[in-house]
Amino acid sequence: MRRQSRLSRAVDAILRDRRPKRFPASTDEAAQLRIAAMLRAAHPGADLPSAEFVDRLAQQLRRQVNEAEHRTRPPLQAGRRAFLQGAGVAAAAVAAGVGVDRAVVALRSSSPAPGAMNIPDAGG
Amino acid sequence: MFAARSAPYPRRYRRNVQPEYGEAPLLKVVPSSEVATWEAVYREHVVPIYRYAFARTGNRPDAEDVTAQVFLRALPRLRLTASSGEIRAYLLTTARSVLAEHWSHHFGMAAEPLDDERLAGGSREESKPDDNAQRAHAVLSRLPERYRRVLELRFLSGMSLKETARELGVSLGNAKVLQLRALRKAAELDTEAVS
Repeated sequence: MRRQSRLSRAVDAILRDRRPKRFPASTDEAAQLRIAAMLRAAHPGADLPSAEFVDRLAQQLRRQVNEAEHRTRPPLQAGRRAFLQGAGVAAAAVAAGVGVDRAVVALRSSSPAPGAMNIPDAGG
Repeated sequence: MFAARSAPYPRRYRRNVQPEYGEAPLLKVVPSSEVATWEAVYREHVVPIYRYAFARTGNRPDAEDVTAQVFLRALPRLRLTASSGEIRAYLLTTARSVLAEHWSHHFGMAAEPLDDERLAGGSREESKPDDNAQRAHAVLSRLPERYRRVLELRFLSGMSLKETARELGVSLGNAKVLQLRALRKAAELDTEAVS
């Protein structure tokens, strides 16, 4: 009797387009629930989604897609930034290297050779 | 502009879902104009998936939950360059999985193959939503007249129990008992047909 009433309540819920309450169904009960669902879906137009639901789910999916894109974007930006920073550092290093090189060359050209004597200009 | 077309699903799905995809060429150049957006894919398939879910839950709240789960799970894994048929097959496979979980959670049933898979001999052939109406009418046609009538009035015509009792010329209690017996008989006939 109790089994029949819980199955009956579940079938009534389906007929009222409500979600049946959860219960541990036997194989026979599950088979009857499946038949009830199948017959309910055969009612003309009953199995078509509402426009509201279709739009609401589209919005939910759009949020999911946007969030997924947002999650994947920062590493890409960081990579690009790191690349640009790296390139800047490299450029600065090259510039600094050139500068150092020139300074060394200038220093070398202005410094006397080791062991050379400081000879005043002739006539000076 | 061209986009690379690869296999429709990630490798881990290909093996279980459609083995033949593994044998397809991995890369194929397709014009970008042929590549669908996720929104176009959604709009094309949402109604058939909802109808599929409704025929297996019988009510709007559950059908909406199942449909939402199917798209939320499947969409991030879908390759939009796959053909419409391949995408439909993948969505239906996901729907079967979500429905098996639904039945397990709500009615404690083991996640067993659903009816249409058993009908297709476990080959996971695609079932069309319109098949449901045909199957429902096939089951009804095999029922004794009184059982068929009570189910038609309740499920197909959407009559209340009181209206049904009046139509059949029986008491409210009798109409309720008749409906339960008719459902049990229909389930037996359907199980016999499937097995």
